[in-house]
Amino acid sequence: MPAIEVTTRDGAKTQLRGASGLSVMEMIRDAGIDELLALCGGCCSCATCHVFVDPAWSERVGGPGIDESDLLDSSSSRGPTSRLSCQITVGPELDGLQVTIAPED
Amino acid sequence: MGNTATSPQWPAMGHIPDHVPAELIKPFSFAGEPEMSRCPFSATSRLHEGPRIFWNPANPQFGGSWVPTRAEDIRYVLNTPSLFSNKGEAGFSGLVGEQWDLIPLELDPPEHGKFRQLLNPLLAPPAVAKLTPGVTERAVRLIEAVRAKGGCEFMDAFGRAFPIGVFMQLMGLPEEHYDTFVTWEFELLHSGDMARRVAAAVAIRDFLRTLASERRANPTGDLTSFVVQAQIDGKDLSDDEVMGILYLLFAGGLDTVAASLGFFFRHLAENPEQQTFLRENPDRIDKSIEEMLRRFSVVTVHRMCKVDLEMAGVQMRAGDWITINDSLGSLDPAEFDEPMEVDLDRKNVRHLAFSFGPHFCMGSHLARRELSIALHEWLARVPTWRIRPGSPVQVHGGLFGVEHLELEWDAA
Repeated sequence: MPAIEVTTRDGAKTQLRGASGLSVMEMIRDAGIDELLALCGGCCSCATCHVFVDPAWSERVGGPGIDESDLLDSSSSRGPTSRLSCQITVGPELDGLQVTIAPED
Repeated sequence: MGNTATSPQWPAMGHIPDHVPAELIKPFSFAGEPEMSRCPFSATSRLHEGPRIFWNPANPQFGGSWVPTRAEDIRYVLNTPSLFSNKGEAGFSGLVGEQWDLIPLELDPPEHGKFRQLLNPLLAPPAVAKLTPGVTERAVRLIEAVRAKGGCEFMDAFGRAFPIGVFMQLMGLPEEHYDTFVTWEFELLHSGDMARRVAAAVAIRDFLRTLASERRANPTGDLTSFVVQAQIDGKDLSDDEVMGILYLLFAGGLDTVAASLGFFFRHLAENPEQQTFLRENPDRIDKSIEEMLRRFSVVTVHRMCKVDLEMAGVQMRAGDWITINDSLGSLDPAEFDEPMEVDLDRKNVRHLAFSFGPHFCMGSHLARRELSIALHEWLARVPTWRIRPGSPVQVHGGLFGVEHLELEWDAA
């Protein structure tokens, strides 16, 4: 079971474990962290699961797809490592991934 | 996207299949319940006091249907297309005696995803950013036309007019069609008379069909041209597919935004302190829109069980219809404290106004921008508005909406 570390908006860091194949969004949601709204439920339609990937992990995670990048354009806080967390699938290669939940738009 | 039916008459007692336990039967008309003409949201929120899921034999569209009342169950249905199908849920084409699907709304995966991928960029944030100057200009023009008068019937002057204008801009249609579209939209979605609804549906279909064939012959670079030139799996779209897409853009984006505007502006008229707060803090307007979307989620949709299944202890059979009323999820007391309050400081507003799952509203970015521009421009240009004393406010069920709303303010 891979683990990820999530930094919430209050700056607190939380370790989460989830089954391989879940998305980062699903792991955060399943942990009951409400501030990640994920309004569309993980279908790359709404841009409310925006996270910053830790720069050390950015290359391994990769950049956003075209649709995802379009959606990230709606966020005033978009940064160089911004991703929609529903589009990052966590497998063994991302064990230890660190992400920060983006500010509310 | 909305329920097609704004049925004025209480439907005849519908269908009760053998597998529905008697204690779960509860007739409830999302269109014709008497309370719908006072407040559709208090009518639906009262359902939270009853069974978690009930069978409604009074569904005019399908004879009868299951109604899950909790956000948790609603999200499950909307996010599990392997069990719950969208096929035939809106039924617009049936109104004109045809059989095309509204696209992507009435498609299931994997077909749905192909069309969604094709169409997403048309309504994604970068496309909305390009539309914004025209949308703003339109809002300003409509407001300035009534500002000095000190009042207006809001739905005519702005609530319906504004989204229709935006749709025409999106589609690249000339202004000369404006009055015709206003009439069709009203007849299709608000006329209680079935013959007039059908006539409007036919007129819209004919207009869109002519438009599509003109653009096939002479593409202009507008949205319709994009659709008729698009390919999926290396093939041109069929005439029915083109119609399904254009019709959904028409039906999906007009009434929903108009309805939201009506409820938002009525709420602010009745709550001048919130109006003042937003006028003084325009940076809070966008966040307030999310809370008002939650408080006033207007859409009802349907899904059909693809197999026999059990949900929250209730046995459902393949072919059973399920009514998903977004306001039931957005007003669920298990998710939101004081759900009927509009709390502008509410945190984590995980509402269902735009649905959930693969069919999450494709136009949500444009809808939010329209609502944002409307509120910003009204609050900046018009002083505190109130409901004209003694005037009737008319609201309705079906696709929850506002029919008539007279506002007044102190003209400078």
